[in-house]
Amino acid sequence: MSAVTVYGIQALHGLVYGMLLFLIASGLTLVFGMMRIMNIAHAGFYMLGAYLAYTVTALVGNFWTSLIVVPVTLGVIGGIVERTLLRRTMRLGHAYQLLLTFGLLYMIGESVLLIWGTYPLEVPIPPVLKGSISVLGGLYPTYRLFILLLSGLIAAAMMLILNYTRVGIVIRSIVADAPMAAALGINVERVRFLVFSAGTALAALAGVIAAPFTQADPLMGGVALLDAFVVVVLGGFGSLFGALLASLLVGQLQSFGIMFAPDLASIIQFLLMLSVLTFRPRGLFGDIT
Amino acid sequence: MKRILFIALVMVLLILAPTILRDSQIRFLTELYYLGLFAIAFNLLFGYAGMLNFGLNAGFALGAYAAGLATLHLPVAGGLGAIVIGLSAGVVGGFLMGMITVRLRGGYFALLTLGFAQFLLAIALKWRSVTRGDDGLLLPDRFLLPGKLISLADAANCYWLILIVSAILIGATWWMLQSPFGNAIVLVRENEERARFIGYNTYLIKLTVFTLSNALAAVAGACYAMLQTVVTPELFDIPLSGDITIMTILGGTGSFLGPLLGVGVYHVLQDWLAQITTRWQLFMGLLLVLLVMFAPAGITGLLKSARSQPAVVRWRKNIFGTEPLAPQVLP
Repeated sequence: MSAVTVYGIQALHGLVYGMLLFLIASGLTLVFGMMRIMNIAHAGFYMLGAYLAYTVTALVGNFWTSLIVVPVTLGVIGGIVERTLLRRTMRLGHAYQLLLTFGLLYMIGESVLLIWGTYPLEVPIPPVLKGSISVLGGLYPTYRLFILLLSGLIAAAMMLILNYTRVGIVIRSIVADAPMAAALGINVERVRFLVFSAGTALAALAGVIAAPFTQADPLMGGVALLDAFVVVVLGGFGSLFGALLASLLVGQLQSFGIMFAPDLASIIQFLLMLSVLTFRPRGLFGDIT
Repeated sequence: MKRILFIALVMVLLILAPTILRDSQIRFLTELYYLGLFAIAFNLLFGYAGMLNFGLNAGFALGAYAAGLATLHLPVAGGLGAIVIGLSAGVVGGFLMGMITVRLRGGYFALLTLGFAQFLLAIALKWRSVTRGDDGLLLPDRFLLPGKLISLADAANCYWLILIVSAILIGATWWMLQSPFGNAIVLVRENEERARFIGYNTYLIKLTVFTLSNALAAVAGACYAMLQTVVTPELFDIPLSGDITIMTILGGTGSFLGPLLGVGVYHVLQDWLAQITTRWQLFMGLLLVLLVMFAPAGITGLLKSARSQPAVVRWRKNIFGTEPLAPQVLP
């Protein structure tokens, strides 16, 4: 294999992971922008998505069903969490809301272990997407390219909605200044509710499409949590575009980090987050501090 | 005066306790003491300084590793020496982490401290020649003093050591909080900007509290190492951080000794739940959610309002949580 192939494939790995990370981090960053909540439970919904994909696929015998059913179900549950738990604890301040979502993550993690056990579960790749395609002179698994395609489409759709539609204007106005948006007649609470549900659904979707690729693993939540937070911190809280760039950067760092310095991969990432938080706390593209 | 007599009486009873208890009970109580110290350290930051430190277990683990390494490689120091070395590790580690983290506020601070703990976890796993990676440190026989005097393998000796160390440090923390410096800490929590206008160097105050808190946590960790004889990288991980957070919130951040109550209740609860199910942490997560929803001021908050308010007001306030969450400046 030529050097182009080796590095190209490695870059592609990074791109796939980066886009997956973006699906998780986008919900996190939007929720933070809208509600100033660092939703630690977000990664739990990602993990729950992967496990539910396993169960639904096993029950129905069809991966595509789970791709629709699981995000919708968890989106609804996310909405319930927002309405019953988070909205009522707004006045306690961010620290207590952080604790609340931390409790939720605990509950999700333990429920997963209770229901599905401690071993990773394999979710079969749908037959259409099995096998490999030749890319850059090497073979690359079709399913990973599918992840890339789907997450790319979702990212593009989100960017379009956020930047060119009325819904997008409303969301951006709340991120910029919630009281002012409310004064202009926008129902801030309802938009928060919907964005929180949508963010949770996105995390669940990421979990579903990640499942055949990484397996449903009880540790995936914790890993995703730290990576997604690095992305959000790096890109700037509340900035979708920042999250996209940061996801791609972290994806490449992971991929080439594992190639060149396997022991240091997680440390490099942390040092990156540390330096950004120290020298530019609002992140590369954020304007919320 | 009455209070001092009461505390002295309790201490005497606790010191005498090992003479009538079984070894397993002694160990159970000993665990409560170092966890209590750890919870006080957590609350010093969260309750008094308003800083939610999700990575305080880093201080605890640093202390445990330092004390463990001292016991292994420097037996001359003895158990007491190991604890002092643990304390120094906490001071140095806390100071270095604090220099960077206390610049940030709220969630950012919580996140970065968590990040630091994860970073140290990675190091503890990878730096095998010193930490022995996954296996952790296994401590040989420990003695309180150099020259193999007073074995700490004896449950009662270990109990007395940890009880006295914890009590002295908790007392010292209380004393510190009564000083003008203690008031300055609360001031920084309440209004950092104003504190700066008055002329306080808020960065220095926060750094000092952060370092002190890590030092206390490190001593708790060193005591843990002395009692449990194993030190593993899991101490740097999220579950320990979660435990101590839930214990503190359960007891109540609004009073100095509240966290101790939380430690006791949590430990008993955990013991009981662990007999019923292996996934007892599920209930601890639920407990945290319920606490934040219905009793953010913890058990002591509930007790306090039960004493001072009519039932109807109490019900409303507890359910809707308008209780003050943090300690008032004490007279």
